[in-house]
Amino acid sequence: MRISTAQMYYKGVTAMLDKQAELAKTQQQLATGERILAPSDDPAAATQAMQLEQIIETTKQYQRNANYAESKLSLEETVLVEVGNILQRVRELAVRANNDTLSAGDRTAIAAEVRSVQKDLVQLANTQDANGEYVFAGFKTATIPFSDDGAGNFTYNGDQGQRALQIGDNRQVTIGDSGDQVFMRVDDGAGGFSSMFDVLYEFATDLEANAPNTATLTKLDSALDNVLTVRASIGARMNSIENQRGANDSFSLLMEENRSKLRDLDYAEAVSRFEQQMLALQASQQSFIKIEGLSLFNYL
Amino acid sequence: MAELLNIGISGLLAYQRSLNTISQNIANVNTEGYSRQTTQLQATVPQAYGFGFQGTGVEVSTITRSYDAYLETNMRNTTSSQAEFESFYTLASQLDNLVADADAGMSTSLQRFFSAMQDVADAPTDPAARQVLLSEGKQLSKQFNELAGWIENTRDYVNTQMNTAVADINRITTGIAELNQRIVLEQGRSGGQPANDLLDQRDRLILELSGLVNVTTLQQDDGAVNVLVGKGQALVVGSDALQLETVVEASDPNQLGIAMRSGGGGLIPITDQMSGGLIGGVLGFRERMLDPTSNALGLTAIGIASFFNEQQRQGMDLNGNLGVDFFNVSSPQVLSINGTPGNVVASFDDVSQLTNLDYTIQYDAGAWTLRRNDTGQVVPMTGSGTAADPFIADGLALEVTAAPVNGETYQIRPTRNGARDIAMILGSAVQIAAAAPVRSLAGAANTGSGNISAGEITDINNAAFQTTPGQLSPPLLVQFTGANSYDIYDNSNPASPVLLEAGIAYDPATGSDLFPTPGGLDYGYSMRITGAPQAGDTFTTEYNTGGIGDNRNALALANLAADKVLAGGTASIVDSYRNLVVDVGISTRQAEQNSQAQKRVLDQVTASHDAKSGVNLDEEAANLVRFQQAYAAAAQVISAASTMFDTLLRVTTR
Repeated sequence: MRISTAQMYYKGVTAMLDKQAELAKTQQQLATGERILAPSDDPAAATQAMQLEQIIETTKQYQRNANYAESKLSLEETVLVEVGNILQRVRELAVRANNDTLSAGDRTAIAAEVRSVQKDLVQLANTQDANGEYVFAGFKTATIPFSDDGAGNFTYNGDQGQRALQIGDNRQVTIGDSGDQVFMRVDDGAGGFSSMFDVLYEFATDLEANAPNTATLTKLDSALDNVLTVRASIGARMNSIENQRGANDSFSLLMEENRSKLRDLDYAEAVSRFEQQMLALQASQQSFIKIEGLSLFNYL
Repeated sequence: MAELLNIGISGLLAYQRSLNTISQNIANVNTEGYSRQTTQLQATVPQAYGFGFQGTGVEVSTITRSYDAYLETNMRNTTSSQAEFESFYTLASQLDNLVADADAGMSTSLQRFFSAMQDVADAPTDPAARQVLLSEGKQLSKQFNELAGWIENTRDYVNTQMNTAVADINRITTGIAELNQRIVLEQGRSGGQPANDLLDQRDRLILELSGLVNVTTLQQDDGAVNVLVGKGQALVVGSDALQLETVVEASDPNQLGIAMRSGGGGLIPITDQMSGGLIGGVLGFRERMLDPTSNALGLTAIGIASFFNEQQRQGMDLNGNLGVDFFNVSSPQVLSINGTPGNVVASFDDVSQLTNLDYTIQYDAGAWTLRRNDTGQVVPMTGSGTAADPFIADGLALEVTAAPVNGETYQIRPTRNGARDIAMILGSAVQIAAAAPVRSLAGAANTGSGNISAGEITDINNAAFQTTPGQLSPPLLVQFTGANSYDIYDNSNPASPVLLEAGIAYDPATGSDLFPTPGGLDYGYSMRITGAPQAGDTFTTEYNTGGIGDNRNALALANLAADKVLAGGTASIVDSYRNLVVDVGISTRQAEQNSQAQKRVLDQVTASHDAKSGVNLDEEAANLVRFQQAYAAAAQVISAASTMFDTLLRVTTR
């Protein structure tokens, strides 16, 4: 076929331009470390990478939620340990007070201690967290959950709500227990319930009257049982958070690996491609110069 | 001898002409559209003698150009397709890069917004968490506005390209008309000899025109060429060129179309007749990529705004009020093509059914017909078009407000402005409705193991919530009369509850919904009782007054990120944006492949064309040598004639 001089020039130049464009793209891939520079480079992989990105970010958020839930539960646990200690101490006092050898004066002294720890107990039950939320108020976290009129009447002002946090796609964990559940439902041995504060208040009143009641011990045991049950439930929830966190971590890692496979550049491959493209560009440059130099006019 | 001299001179002249043509070819080796010329020689009329015919020399019969009409047409058509694909691809890759750049921004904004929502769910009373959600909401809507703005800038850029292209077309067609005139004149004057360089110039202009829009040509007997576009719409007739103009399209005030100035001075729209070339590519991009992308982004924005608002309204804020709208949601756009603006009013019926399509609704022969703009397919509608019973189709509700006349036509673009118009309208962080407005309580003296769930809102518009703000109308008391039965009371006055429904059956093994009776009590929320309550055990429900630590609604809001609420329940809000990015990616990749393939075809066609018409310098060099030699030989003939003449003179002077 006849070939025109302009056509030869055009072909040579186009070949160089095309190779330069390929080289520029590889260079950009090498500079960014990413295989996909725009969604059109590989639409399927770009979507998958976006989807993985979202999963990874969501899982990160679940980890944040889990950390938050854990700190809330540990605070509750710490408070409940204190509550347990107080009840334990009162139980010891109750055992001592039941001793017949004690004088009325001794009992009044014990009563004073019981009154004092009873106030501590109300304070503990009204514990606020770092955000100023009352731990044992249910949903009414801005309402002081327990009020004490000083005459043995203890009222719960919270509700029975329990906040749930999302710590996995299909996993929620409840943080906090309503004060109602923890402090207000001590089996009174007569088919009803009284509050822990009531138990302590009545105990002190009995002592001040120098008439200790052996039923107090049973009620204290029931109160301790209550605390232990709630603590066991907290422990179970903390375990579950720990498990979910482990699961989230390994899931994240897997997703990050997948994302990396989809999106990240294979440097070895890219570098050798870069070399090849450079070689091709050099070859087309050299051949262009050689061919353009050929002309019959050189011999005229 | 005089004959010898004449023959020699004719040769000298002929080869001089040939050498002129070669130098013309060499001079124009880099002239675009130049066709190689050849001096055609022929023997002059011979002299008749008794012994036969004696030749009288050589003469130039004509100068031709190497030209093949088929190859030329082929190149025009291919140039047209190539320009179409290339301009489509150039615009597509702009959009692709835009989406890729924005991808980080938009995806991150969505992610951060929903993360902030989770943080509010973690700590609903934390003012910092609420404030962050508020600013992430602002950021998200700003991101939507910006991306919509960038996409619409592409539309402006398309308009600019149309303006430039139309100006170019007018310049070119004027040039063709002028050349037609000169060619007719020159060829007439030269007795029909081809005006090669003018013809090349005209072909060059027609080729350039083909790059802008696909044209057909009609060769006239007098040498002029008529140029037609579309279905036979003339652009050039002889020495007249018809002028095109860009006009604002009736179907979209933001975009330009093309019209032709008619003889009567009116403008005839011919946008639909334009295909191929840069204009074809630009129009195709606008219709097949820009509009769907803009609509899809709008759909995502409308999706997040309306579902977030809906959930927000089901909640209770920090002040104990029912939630109010978080985002502003744009309404569907209705443009009158032929009819009174406002006769057809569109609104969203069901956001989950919306598409990213545009529609046209037309009244004809007593009936309204809705069609998708992309395929022209009829979309079935239910309803009668009245305010009470609007037409329902693809998530839209269409109401006709005045008696229609035949031919009334409206364009409906449901989601076009969704991303442009989204804005965060919630005034303060306090108004984020993290809590649910209802709560349940188990009686303090309950002896059984019965539990009641916290409750979910099923219909916030129920009178129970709407009658008195901040109250449940009425609060309820549930009293178990035995292990398997309970009564429900209106607990407005706890001192004397009023019986509402008695003897509701309860199964301790499976638990039961609080309001299990179909068509029975319904207060717009649902709760579930489980476990084994004892006779006398009570549960109460009430407004969640003071329940600011509640995060039920915040969790529901956060879960909207993953809930499949769009595209008929097949895509989440995040999916919807991702689909947009993928669609742009796929279209761009296709456009790139088409453009590259068409480029190769054009290269091939150009090579065939140039094989016929192009100048090759080596060939010209060879011809230069050849004609120089012939010229030298002709000169030798003259020299021989001169020698002969001298010889004769010497003989006669002796």
